[in-house]
Amino acid sequence: MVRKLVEHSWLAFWRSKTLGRSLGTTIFTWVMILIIILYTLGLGFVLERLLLEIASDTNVISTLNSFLIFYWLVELIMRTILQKNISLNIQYYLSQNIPKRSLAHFMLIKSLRNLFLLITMLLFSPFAFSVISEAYGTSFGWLWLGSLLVMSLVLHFVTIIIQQYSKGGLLTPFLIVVGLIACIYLNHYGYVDISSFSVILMEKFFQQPILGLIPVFLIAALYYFSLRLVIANLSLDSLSTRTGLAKIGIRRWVVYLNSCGQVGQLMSLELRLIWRNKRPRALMLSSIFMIAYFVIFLGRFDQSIFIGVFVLVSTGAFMVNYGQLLFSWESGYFDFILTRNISPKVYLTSKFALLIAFNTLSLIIMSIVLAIINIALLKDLIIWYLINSGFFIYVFIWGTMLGPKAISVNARAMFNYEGLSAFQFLIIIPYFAFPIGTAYLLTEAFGNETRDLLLAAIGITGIIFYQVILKTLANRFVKRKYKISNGFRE
Amino acid sequence: MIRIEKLRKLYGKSKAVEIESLEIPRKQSFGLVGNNGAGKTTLFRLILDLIKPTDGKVIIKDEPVALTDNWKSFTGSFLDETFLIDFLTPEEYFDFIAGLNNVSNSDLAVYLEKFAEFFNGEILNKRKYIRDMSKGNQKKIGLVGAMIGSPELLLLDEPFANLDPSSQIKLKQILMAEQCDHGTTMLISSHDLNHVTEISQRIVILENGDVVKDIMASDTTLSELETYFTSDFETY
Repeated sequence: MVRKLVEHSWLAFWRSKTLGRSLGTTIFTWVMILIIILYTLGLGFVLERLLLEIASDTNVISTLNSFLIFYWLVELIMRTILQKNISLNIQYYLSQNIPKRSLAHFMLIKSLRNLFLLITMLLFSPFAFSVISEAYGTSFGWLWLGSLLVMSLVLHFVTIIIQQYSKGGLLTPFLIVVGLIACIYLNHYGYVDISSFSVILMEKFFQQPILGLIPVFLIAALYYFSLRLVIANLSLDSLSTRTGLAKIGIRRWVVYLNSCGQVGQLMSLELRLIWRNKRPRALMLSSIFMIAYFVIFLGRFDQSIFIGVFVLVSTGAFMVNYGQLLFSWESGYFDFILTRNISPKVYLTSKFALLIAFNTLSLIIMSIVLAIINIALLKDLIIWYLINSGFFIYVFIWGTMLGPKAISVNARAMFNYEGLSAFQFLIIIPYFAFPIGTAYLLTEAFGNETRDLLLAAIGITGIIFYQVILKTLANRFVKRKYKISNGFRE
Repeated sequence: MIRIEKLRKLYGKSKAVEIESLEIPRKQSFGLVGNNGAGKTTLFRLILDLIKPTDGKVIIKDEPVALTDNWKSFTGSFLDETFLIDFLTPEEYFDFIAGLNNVSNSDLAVYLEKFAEFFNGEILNKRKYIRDMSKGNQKKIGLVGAMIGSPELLLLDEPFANLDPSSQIKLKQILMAEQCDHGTTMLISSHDLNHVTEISQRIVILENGDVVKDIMASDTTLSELETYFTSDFETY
């Protein structure tokens, strides 16, 4: 029985829509996975040298141990956002003669096949078998690595339990992520000290290896607990993609936007699209993560040619993530948009307004934080915000008309490259090259001050003349709409 | 209301639709019948400017559909689930369409009240997204959405499919009343010969993209249609 289930999940994997849709996307997915694996392994091998550079005077092992708590926190954040909910792909088996218990076991064990465990192994194996083995012997190396894997397993089941409790809801995962990020920040600014936690924990293990039995029991307990939850939730009702009862009437911004004419109506529709479907929602959450990451990074920067890239990408994080599939998001009801009383220009204006709103939101978040930690960057922030909003915004609207593909918005987000086409790959190059290129060329020609003024002028001009530019884009949209809608129907 | 001139749609070399000329006058209820693959949906998509004809054009109220958007303000349509926004609740979906057509909230409420029986208590105030509803209920939502604002022109593809018997009968009454009260021009395709003859004043049979029969409905229409479609079998 279990063999059949394994066989089916193997078939489901190879015959899945995402895999079958296009060869390019498939190759890209695997290349991405391979890159992550190689990077992780590479990082694993230079881990010792990196640690020596960060803290050369202290013991490498205890330095690493003090970082572990952050690794776990970040892993838990990533898992909360990205880990696939296990109970989704099993609906057809429920009506068959299979005990629920076997199904639940199967689902839990199958869920172990994910990248997080692999990453932990790749990242820490080299360290375990070089530094730790040299210092304490190979068996301790195994023990150390083993305890990290156990920790990853603990996080795995904790995530499953969270998911089972929140039942696809958003609030709990969101609060957890915010809480964990807050922990990291509080520690960074010295309000709490969590870094000693993992040091003490790991050292306890070394002193008394017998304590290693505790996590084994912990995992057994967590597994049993998850099993109970999964069995309890194993009915068609809780299996459906349903996100509980829809909340109606409390979203004031929906009401407000709906009163702002067609543009507002379309924007409120798209915001609901983002919020109520897994893939765009996960993208937006990871954009917040991306911004947070860049802000920490930028806090330490002085002047550098790469500042442009970082600021551009972070003020445009939402725009890039969402805008690269601008029309594909609405592939499920594109015929509706085309046959309804919506003029192409109004339609594009709503997209434009949404992207500008995203950029502005990023600008506000980033300028508040940067004002505290590195105020010198405020000028760059505004300049690249203007370039995003007055230049790249049109590039995205223009480019996504080229030949968008349909995507299922409510499918999982991690390693889902459905809908990507040549444009998404090609745009990345000029997008990254632009700030570096202009920094070189314009600075060489005119000097820093004039360069900044020129860039700001480009952005402002683009924003001021949005009506004219959108009109041109709308004409293009009218010509291309057959092709776009045809692509979505395939 | 609708004029079709030398309309042709080819996919590669295979013909999907080829109509030399077809005119649907104002206030007519027009039934489109044909087997699977006859080109009914393609014709609807051509009329709604969703696909580009290989040749010819569709003209609504003297304006080619491909060149203006004016027809959209008085046309309601529901072809398939791509006309539904599945992450909205039915209320939000109706509200959205009403907003696009400048129908006020109170008018919408009055309008939806008329469908209480058709909805059978399964659509409104359920706090469910459209994607979580049954196929039949999704169909009802799409049909009612298409009629918001009492459009002058209504296009429905297979409106009776997926509906339970009482809803089919109710829908028939709704469509007849709509036509009677507002003089709506209706284009309805259906596999159900009974229903379509009952609500249509004129019936056109499509086969391989061609109009093979164009008849005004009378008492004998149903048997005429049945004869037509059974004669197909006899040739085999």
